[in-house]
Order: sequence, then structure tokens, then C-alpha cells
Amino acid sequence: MLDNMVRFKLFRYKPGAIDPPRYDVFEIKVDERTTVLDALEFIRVDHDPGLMYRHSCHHASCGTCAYKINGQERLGCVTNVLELGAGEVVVEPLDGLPRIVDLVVDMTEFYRDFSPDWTYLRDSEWHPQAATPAGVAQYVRFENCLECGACISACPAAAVGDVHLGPAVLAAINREIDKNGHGKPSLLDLAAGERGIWQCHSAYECSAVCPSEVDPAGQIMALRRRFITQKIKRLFGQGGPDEQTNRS
Amino acid sequence: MNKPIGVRAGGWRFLARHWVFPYRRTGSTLAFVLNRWSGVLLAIYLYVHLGILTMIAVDPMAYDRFLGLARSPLGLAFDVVLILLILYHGLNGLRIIYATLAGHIEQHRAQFWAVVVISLLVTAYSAVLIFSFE
Repeated sequence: MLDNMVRFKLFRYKPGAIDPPRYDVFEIKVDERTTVLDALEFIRVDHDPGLMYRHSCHHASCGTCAYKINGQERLGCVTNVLELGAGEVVVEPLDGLPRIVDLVVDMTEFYRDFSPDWTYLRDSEWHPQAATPAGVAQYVRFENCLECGACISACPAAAVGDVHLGPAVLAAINREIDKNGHGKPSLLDLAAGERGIWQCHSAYECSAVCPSEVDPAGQIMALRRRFITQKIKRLFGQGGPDEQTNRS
Repeated sequence: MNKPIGVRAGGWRFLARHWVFPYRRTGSTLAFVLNRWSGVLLAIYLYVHLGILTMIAVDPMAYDRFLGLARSPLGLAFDVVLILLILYHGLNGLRIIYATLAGHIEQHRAQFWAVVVISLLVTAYSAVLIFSFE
């Protein structure tokens, strides 16, 4: 097994102790299977038990280990260190959210605008004619979004503060309209509000960094089209906020 | 509304990373940054332009002196830069409208480079016309 020494430059911040923030450098041995999250765990166990970071499932399912790795938002658990192709790996917390400590950010703002009424299940892409087991009406699956926060970190609109619902929430709104129509109060009116779709600067970075193919930018553009279509229909006395939309 | 714990990253370095020097970002952030700065410069130019036009009413002689400056190579170069800013800002706006209405955002990188190439070609042609004008 090939072993390589790789330099890890980690963002460190502890209120009252490491403030202003600084970068600490650790040099550790990695092999071809080592992920960035593995490396953080090696560093915490062998070098600095005070290093703090979020993680849970280790297989890109929970979305808790999103960091900026060499300047790009990625999930630490599925980012192979050697495949980064760099002698130095810089790990920083996500942008756009308040920092708590080291690589940990406060996700409160990110989760706040998700409504508990929105559905997290959707029809599966399973073959539509496939037989389902007894007692199962149809195959369903979870929506793609891991709620990792990578999209808000990459979003230039979020760089100015909490002025934007954010790509993940807007994508969720569009998917909810896909599944269940506009609802009351109209989800489309929420999306077109002052923190909504018109805050998007069309940089499409959210879709570029999304680890789960949610395509938030595409969903935001779809919301804009829905809104413009609704306005045109209302102009000619057709449609309304409660109209049901096509399932995609 | 829950008050977030922790301290939001901020300051010029933070904003610069997203709005001025888009490190490790895709071409579409570069498109956004160029669009923002071309917009800011065009807005400044608008006020300068209105200020210069006001000179006609206040001091016609000063306006004549300005026309001399405007016809100098420096003034003509300024016109070329102005054309580039207007072309890029306008064409990028059309690109975003197209991406929004047509939904083809998967082609946005190619569209951005098309905007850059068209802007540069038309500006180069304009520069030739401006500097060869007698």
C-alpha cells in the first residue's frame, strides 16, 4: 500500500482562546483510501484532541462533514486526499454561516427556513411498471438534498449576510411545488419574496458544489419561470396562487 | 427567530473572496463578478457623463476644453473601454435572461465565454473605427 506524507493546513478558531483565527499545519501519512475526514480524525487522535469538526455517517448520506477543502465546498467523507492532487490540503469551515469553533459552523440559519410541513419523500425512479412487494403501494425515496450547507457557502449572495433564503431552501420549495402544488400560503409567493429568487446572482456555484445533484440553481431558475408564468397568466385573468403545477 | 451562535465570517477578505477574486470558483462566478464591476463602473460613468453635460450650461468654454480631451488618444481609449463595459454588461444580462427563461443553465459556461468573445471582437472592431476616424 502506497503511503504519502501530506501537509494539512487547518483553520483554527476558538472564541477566547484562538481568536483571531489562525491556520495550524499537520503533516500526516495517508494512503490511496484516506479521505479528508479520515485525516481529520487521525489528526484529532494523534496530534490535537482539541480539533473540532462535524461528521456523522462517513458515507455522504448525512451531509454533516461539508467543509471548504482547498477552496471548494466538498464532503470530507468522500473526498479522497490523494485525488486532490495537492501536496497541501487546506481545510476551512463553510462560508456564509456563523463560525462556532474550528471547522464547525452554526447551521441554525440554514435549517430555519425549511418548513416542517414540506415533504421529504418523493416517488422513486424505480421502473414505473415494476411490481411492488405486498403492502407497499409504490416505491418512494428521500429527496436528494443532504442539507450539508455547501450551496450557501458557495453562494455570492450569502456573502453579504442573512439576506437570502438560500439555494437549498429555494430548491426545496420548487420540489414541494412539483409534488404538492403551491399550498397555502403560496410557496411561490414565499420564493418570490424579498429573500427569495431575485436575490440570486445567477453565479450557479450552488449547483457546481452540490454533492447530491440537487441542482439548486436549476431549481431557482425553474421557480423564476413559474413566477413569470403566473404573473403573465394573472395579467390575462387566468391562473392563481393555488393552481396545481405539473409533476416533474 | 433564533439568534445564531458563533461569529459570522465577514469583512473585506470574506467579501473579496466571493465578489472580487473568486478563488476556485467556476466561470459563472467570474461572469457575476465582471457583471457587478462593469455595472458599478457604468453607474459611475453615468454621473460623470451627466456632470460633463451640465458644464454646457455652467461654463461652455470648459466644455469645449473637455471636447479637446475627449478627442485625444486617452479620451478615445476611454471610449473603447466604455464600449467593452456596455457590451459585456448588456450581453451578460441577455445571457442570464436566456438561462432563466430557457432553463439551459448546463450550457452557462459556454454562454459566458461566447459573451466574452463577442464583447472583445465587437470592441476591437469599434476600436479600429474610433482610432481611424478623422
